[in-house]
Amino acid sequence: MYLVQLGLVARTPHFNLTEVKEVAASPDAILLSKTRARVFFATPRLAAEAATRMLRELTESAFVETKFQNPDICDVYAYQATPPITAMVAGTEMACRAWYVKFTLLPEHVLLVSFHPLEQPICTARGKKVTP
Amino acid sequence: MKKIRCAQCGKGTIRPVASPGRREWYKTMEVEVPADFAIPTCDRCGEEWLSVRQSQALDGVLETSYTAELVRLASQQLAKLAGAAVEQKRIEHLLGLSQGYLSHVKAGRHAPSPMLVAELVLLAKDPERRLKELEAFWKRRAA
Repeated sequence: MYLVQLGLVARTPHFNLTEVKEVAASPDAILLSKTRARVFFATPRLAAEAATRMLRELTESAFVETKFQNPDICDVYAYQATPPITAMVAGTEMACRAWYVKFTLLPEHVLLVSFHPLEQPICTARGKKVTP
Repeated sequence: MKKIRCAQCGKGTIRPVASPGRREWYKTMEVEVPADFAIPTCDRCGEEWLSVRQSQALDGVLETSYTAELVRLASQQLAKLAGAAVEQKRIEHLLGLSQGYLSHVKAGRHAPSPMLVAELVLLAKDPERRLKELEAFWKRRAA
């Protein structure tokens, strides 16, 4: 803990990413928030496909921080999509490479609280700067 | 569906809700979600949560609503153009459509593309002027 605070050891996710991926593998497990995720996609199916792909490709190196959203605990990641994911930004379709991801893990669900194109630069726990 | 606490407000419970009057953005516009389609919704903040399976199912019902809305909008614009004494075959010719295509659209036998609906909307705003502009445009290409 002290080593993390001193910046000598990188922060690690609260939720084990392997467990998150295992839970997310079921078609009903990933729940997307409409206002913070679905709104960036032209159709619900495209949103679901992008979320599924993102959770499959996510690696621990993209982890940013853990947020305590009373009473939930959420892990935040800066996901870099290759190839980019098409999103609707201000009514225009854009190919977005960098995405802000925030989720919480429940026994049978991954609640995707945020999944949208990155709006401002963010630094991962390992010190890599990700830009929109 | 098991009880899930909403991660958006942290207080409500997510439960399936089917109700009339819900609207959802689909492709180019907002369309109505069928009243009997259940969407997991927070009973406190109203946030809606969709799973992959539900997203796919919702896509299907929204596509149906979207197509019906395109047919309705196209018919509405064609009625406006007819009211301005514009012949349908003149529009078909200028938009590069086969003769009789717009009759099929009006009758709901063909689903119009959003692009065709957009063109009809623009034409119906000022029919004579827009049609003359189009005629002049194609004439210039031919010269």
